[in-house]
Amino acid sequence: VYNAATVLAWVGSAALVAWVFHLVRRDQLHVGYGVIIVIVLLAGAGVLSSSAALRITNRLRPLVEGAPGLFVLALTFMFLMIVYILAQVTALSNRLTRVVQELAIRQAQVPVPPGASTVEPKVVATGESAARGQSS
Amino acid sequence: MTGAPVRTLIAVPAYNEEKTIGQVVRNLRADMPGFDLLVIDDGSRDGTARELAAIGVHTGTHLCNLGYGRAIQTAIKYADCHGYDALITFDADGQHRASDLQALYEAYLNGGYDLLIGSRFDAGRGYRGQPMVRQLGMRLFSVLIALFTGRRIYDTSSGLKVIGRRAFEPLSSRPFVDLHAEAIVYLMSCGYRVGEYAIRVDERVHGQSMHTPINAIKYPLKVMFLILIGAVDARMFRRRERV
Repeated sequence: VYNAATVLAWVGSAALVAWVFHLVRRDQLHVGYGVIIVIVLLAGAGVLSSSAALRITNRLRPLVEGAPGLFVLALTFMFLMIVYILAQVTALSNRLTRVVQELAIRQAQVPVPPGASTVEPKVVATGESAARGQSS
Repeated sequence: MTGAPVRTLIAVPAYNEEKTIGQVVRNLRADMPGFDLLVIDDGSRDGTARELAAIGVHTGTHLCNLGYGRAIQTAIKYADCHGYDALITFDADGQHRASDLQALYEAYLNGGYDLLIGSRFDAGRGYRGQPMVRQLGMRLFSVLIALFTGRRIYDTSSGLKVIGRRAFEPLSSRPFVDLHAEAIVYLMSCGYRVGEYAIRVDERVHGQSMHTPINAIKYPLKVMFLILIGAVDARMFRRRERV
């Protein structure tokens, strides 16, 4: 039996999953973070939909008995802050990646010393001889 | 082999491959003399940089480790801005045979592919000889690709690929993990021509695979997520094309 809260939980989770999906698509959130957030959201909605799972989580009720409404607000705030912080980390990481890649490309444009690019005899053997950098 | 009919770059992404990189480069130079060669040192912490300097090969060094997919993207960006028509990616661990490249490259030219994958497996050979977990992963990705694109690709994680210029832009600008299954789904869904060509591989002698036990859980989740995103994006891309 689905009550209004369960439906709301699933609709809310679906909307948040769509948002996370959008952030990953735009490369504004690393896919690893996206996967974790989506799993947590779906697990949360799943717990709310199952009476058995709810009974288990209700054992934690004393922890939030004082102000459950405030707890929900704090939880929402924390979730949004986590997504925001992870998006900022992703943005910084993407900038760093671009800089590192650009430096690598510029470094690769530097000519190789003369004579280094000449064709060397092919050495088929790998393993120990390769490890020692030997050539025939 | 006297020279390449189109400008082609061979890129070797390397991370902590000091024991094999020298031999790999020497074999590539001997077997594919008409091709330019670029090694992307992905922030190696061993003697890979020293080895590369000793050989004297064009090298782009990542100041920190960005991962395999980003190393390939650096090579694609380099190939794109230097006017190459095709890019061949070749693993630095010594498992690929440089002698297979010529046939693979000719198949690429004759087939008009945007992405041709050097395939360790095909319908006849199956996934025999691979560890069970890896077999499961490969089957899963292969089935997912068939589900989204209607065509089976057997080797979804091969490091030996020929990438055509047309595919440079989408592969260098989109989020990918390793440019394997997720990239294949996106390209095929957008209408790019993707194929497989049978190759042989040798056993890894030195170094470690990048797939650790933790990665065995994280990697499929991330790739499946990106496959889903790629499929949605490709659908939107096709819709825009029609309009």
